[in-house]
Amino acid sequence: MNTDASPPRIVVADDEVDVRELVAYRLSRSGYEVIEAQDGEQALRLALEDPPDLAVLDVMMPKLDGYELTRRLRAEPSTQRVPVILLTARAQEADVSQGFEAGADDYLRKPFNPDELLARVRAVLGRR
Amino acid sequence: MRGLTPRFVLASAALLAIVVGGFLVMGIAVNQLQNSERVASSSANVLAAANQLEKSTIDLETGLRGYLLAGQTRFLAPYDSAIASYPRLAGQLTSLSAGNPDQAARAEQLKRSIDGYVTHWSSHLIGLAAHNLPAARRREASGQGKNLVDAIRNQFAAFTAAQSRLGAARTRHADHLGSLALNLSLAGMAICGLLVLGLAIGLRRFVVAPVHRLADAVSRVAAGELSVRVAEGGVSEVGELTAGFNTMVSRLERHHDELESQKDELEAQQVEIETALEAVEEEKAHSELLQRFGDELAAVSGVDETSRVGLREIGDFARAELGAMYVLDLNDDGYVLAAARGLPGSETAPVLRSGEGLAGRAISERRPVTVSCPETSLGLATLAGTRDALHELHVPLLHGERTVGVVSLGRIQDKSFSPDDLAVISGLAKRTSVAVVEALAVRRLETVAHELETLLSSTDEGIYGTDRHGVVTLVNRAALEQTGYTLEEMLGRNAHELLHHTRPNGEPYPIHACPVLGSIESGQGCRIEDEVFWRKDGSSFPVEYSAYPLFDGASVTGSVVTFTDISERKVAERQRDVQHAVTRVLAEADSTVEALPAVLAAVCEGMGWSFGFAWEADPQASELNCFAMYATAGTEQDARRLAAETVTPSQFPAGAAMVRREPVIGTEIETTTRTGPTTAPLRSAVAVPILGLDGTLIGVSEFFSARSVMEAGLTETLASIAGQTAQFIERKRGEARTEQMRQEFVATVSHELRTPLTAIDGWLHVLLSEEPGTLNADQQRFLRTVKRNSDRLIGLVGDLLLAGQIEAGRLTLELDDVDIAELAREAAELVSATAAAKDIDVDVDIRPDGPVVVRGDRARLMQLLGNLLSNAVKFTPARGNVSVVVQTRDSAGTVTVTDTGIGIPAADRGRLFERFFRASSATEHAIAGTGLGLAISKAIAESHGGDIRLADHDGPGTSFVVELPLAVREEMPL
Repeated sequence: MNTDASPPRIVVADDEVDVRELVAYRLSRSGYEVIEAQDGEQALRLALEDPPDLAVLDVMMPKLDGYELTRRLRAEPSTQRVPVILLTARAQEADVSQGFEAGADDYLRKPFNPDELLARVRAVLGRR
Repeated sequence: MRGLTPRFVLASAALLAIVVGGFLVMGIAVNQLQNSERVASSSANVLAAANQLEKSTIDLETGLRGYLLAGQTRFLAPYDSAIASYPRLAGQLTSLSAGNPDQAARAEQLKRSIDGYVTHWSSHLIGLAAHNLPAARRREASGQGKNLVDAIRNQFAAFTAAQSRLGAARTRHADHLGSLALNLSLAGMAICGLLVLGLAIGLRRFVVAPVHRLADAVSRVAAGELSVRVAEGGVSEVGELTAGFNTMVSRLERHHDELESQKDELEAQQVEIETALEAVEEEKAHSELLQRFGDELAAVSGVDETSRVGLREIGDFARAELGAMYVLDLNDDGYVLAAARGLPGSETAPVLRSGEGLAGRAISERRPVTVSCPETSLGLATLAGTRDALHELHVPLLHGERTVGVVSLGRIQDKSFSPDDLAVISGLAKRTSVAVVEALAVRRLETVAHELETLLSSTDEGIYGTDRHGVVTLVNRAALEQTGYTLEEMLGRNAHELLHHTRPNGEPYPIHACPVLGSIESGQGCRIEDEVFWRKDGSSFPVEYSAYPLFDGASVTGSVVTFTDISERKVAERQRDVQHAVTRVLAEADSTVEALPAVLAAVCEGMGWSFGFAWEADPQASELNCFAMYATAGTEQDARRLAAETVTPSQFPAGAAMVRREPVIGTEIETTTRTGPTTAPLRSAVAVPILGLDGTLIGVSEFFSARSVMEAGLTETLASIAGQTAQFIERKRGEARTEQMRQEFVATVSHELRTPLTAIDGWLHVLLSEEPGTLNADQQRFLRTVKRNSDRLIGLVGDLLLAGQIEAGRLTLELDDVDIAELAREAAELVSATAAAKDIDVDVDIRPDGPVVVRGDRARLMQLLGNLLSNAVKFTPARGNVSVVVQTRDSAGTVTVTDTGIGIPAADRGRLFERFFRASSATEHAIAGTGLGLAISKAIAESHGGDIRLADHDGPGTSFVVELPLAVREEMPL
């Protein structure tokens, strides 16, 4: 766990507001600072402005999809080490491996159990 | 005693008995004599032995005495040798005297006496002399020894005297016997002489004299004196012989008289025979006439010539000035004038019908017709006009049932046809009939032959005939045209060696394997479709031929072969085969990459070409790049070199085909220019554009060959293949687009379904966690219902998408080592709540000790086991049982899930693993489900190289067994 006084910051990006709110609710209720983005570009901008401790990104987003966004984050020195958890509504396994290739640390298939998301977030942050 | 033989036998036997008796007595006497002499000589032997023994005894005595007197041991030598020899001599004497017991006893006594002398006297004395010679001399001087020896000598004298007496007695006996034998033999000889003399006198009197008389009589009979008789006399057979002789001579006399009378009869018969011979001579003249006539006819041929000669000869014989001959017309039932004699042509009817006029009457009545003036009808053309015949004769020419013509004869002079004339003319007419029939038959044959020849030369099939060795005897126009030979070149030659000497593959075709000759041998026709015939110029052509044996009675005399050049048919067949092969290849291929080399291979192999390419056109159709290639053995290097190059429009023939959009055949020069030097020489190439439905150029297929590719229908066939290929390519492209769209659709649907479900399910989760606020009991129950249905919906979406993936063959696995024993426990854990709610006992039985590791996708395998377990719980009524058994068998791990549920009807078992199939028992019991679970489970098991099936088990319910191959344990490197 983060040893700072301030809670870890998590960028949550999903164009679907209902899902984004669910993630935000779960994470903020669990003590994290959640910064919401409604598309990939916004998420990238927010992340570059102030690199977060974690990014939870939907794969299928307008303007910039989750894979590309991950690659961009990895390409920038400031966000190079920001862990990424991808949320995917796609079924194909190829998508998952594509995510890992882009540099994601974990992925979660939609629909997901919010508690499991929380567990994964804790796990990824704990790895750092 | 009537016969001569028995009398002779008796006399001879008496003589023999006397002689044998005499000799027997003589023999006995001689034998006795010999015995006596043998005894005498043995007696001499006994005496000699006795003397020797006596000498040894004396040696004993003198030797001993000499030793005692001289005191020197060398005087003992005679003694020693006597000691050594006397037992042997004594034994000899005993054995020689064995025949006479008295003498034997005496010999025995002698031996005992000598033994006593040696034992008790001499050896004792010698022993004493060795240490006390004077004592020994004193003992010797006592005379005791001498007394002993004297006694022995007396014994010897007794033995010798007895022996001599014995010998003398035997000699006397022998002398007596000798004189007896001599007397007996003299008496025997005298009796023999008397007997022989008596026999000779008997023979002279009773046999020799009568035989003499008989011999005299025989020689007189031989001289012809048949009245001779012999006085009958003489003993037995000799008497009978003379009586027989007399009977025989009387009989001979009687036969002689008979012969004399027969001789007269024979002379009369001879006169008759001579008369008959004259008749035969006449007959002979007649037959010679017929013979000559036959020869004349045989010398000519043809109906007209035969008729002319026949009429001339018959006319000459009959001395008829006029004559005509009509012969049967084969095509009509009338008779046509075949020859005329002395008749004015203008007045002679050219055609005659049966029953028409006198000649016609002869035909219809089938007998000769004779008429005399004024009924005659023939006339002789003379310078002064016509002179009518005074006598006519019309003779039908008969042959079996048929009347083949008529001969009409007319005489101008007044001389009628006599019966003799008629007889001879009828004979000649008969001959003429035969000749005419033959001539008609030949004419018929010639007509048939001509028709046959026309028939043979008018057909386009080659035909030739052979004798039974296969030598050509007949050949038609088409055969000559197809083979390039002339008639002269083929006739008389062996057809096999000429046309059939080599097999299609170039191997020699031995004549004994030739089916034509085989058909001659077997007498069975044959039909061959896959061989070639060779032309004169050395080229060959595929041929279909039939050979039929020709029979003469039961034996085959030759064969007729009918053949057709089937090059064109073969070409068409080959092209059709290639096209079918391509169609098959395209039907079986899954992708263009797979299909095109196979198409090229089918074409190259089918057509016998070296290699081929499928070139892909660039979007501007300005150049071609290799998409696929096929090369036959040995041409790969050349093919690969060409494949590496880009084809431009200037390159033949592919570039040209690209530009012209039509098939192009490259000449040898164009081909070699294109390819450059090649390992195997190439002579020809062909390129065909592959055009899409809308006319766009997809590519070009191009083939290279070591021989000319040119043949009928080739470009059409290749164009058709290119068309099929183009369709295939376009279809595959279409399928690829469809597949891509489908995937996109699935991704979208997946996203669109899951996103709202994520929100619904996530928020339900949040609500049920009572984090936002506490729920009352009803709220909780309702929300749980919503949650349950939401879960079901999520499961359904997942199954649908997975089923889609499976169908598209896109089920991918994340492989890992998975312990299915552990997995089974977890799966059982997952359904435990549901099972507990229905009071169902879930029992997990892991049989192996350790983990059961398979290589697989953990999530998918979990899904599989989860499906089976949830089904088992779902279909099992309350208070039932579900059991899970994990086992290993060979190299597989099995999980068996058995329930005590409603079971699956037998009728439904076969379709159980089909998608969306639901067992009737499930629908009847209104048990919810999509029918996807088992189909997905099966797909998962199979994608792991395993299987799932219904297991046989007793009792109600259902048992499924999943079998998965165990992971190969990798040895950990140290």
